[in-house]
Amino acid sequence: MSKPKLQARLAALSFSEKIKILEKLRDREEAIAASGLRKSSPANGKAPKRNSR
Amino acid sequence: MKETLEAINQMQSDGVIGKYAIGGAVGATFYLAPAATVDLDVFVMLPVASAGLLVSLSPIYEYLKLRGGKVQDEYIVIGGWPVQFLPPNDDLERDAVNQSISTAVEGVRTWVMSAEHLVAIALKTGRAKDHNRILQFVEQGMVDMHKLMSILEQHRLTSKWKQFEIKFLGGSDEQT
Repeated sequence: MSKPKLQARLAALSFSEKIKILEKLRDREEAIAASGLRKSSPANGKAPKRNSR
Repeated sequence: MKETLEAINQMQSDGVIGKYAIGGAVGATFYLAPAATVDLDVFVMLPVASAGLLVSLSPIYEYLKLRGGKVQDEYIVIGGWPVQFLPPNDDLERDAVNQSISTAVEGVRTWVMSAEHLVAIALKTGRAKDHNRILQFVEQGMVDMHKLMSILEQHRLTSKWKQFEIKFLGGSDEQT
């Protein structure tokens, strides 16, 4: 399946189903972070949060 | 997430927060394919906030800590999700909360910002990942361009949108 088709198929899922996928992705990110496999990049490549206002 | 939203809804019922709406990556996931994120951005109206007073999130943190929430940097972890509560920073974010869309996650009612407000806020924030998200919304046809243009005009973001179009959408000015 092409990437655009996969994206469209995922986008068409219900919000509840998408949240379950998000939770799996989050757990995987946390497991990778905890394993120390990702040492040089910030967690999830996230930019700094806007918490300075 | 179900437990997280139930706690937030209970907090709303108890009057600690007013209307709220999910924004950020989780909000975008309502419209787009899921993209990895580790937190939940919740924009909240604070019922006691008024002009001239400093906005404080302490009542939210105190309420949730008493119910098992754990503070972690700028987040409070509820039901396994680090949640960041964000009082609206300007009229755009206030409108985004007030005009949010009602939905449900595993039977729990919640509210998500409209696609057009998510795009407008991403444009205003302007980080690389925000631009990427805007492109996804546009390319996947998830945005009502007429409504978006109206919001951008209302919040003086039209020139920023034109710059975005030139840089990322081939410079078309058909929508403006």
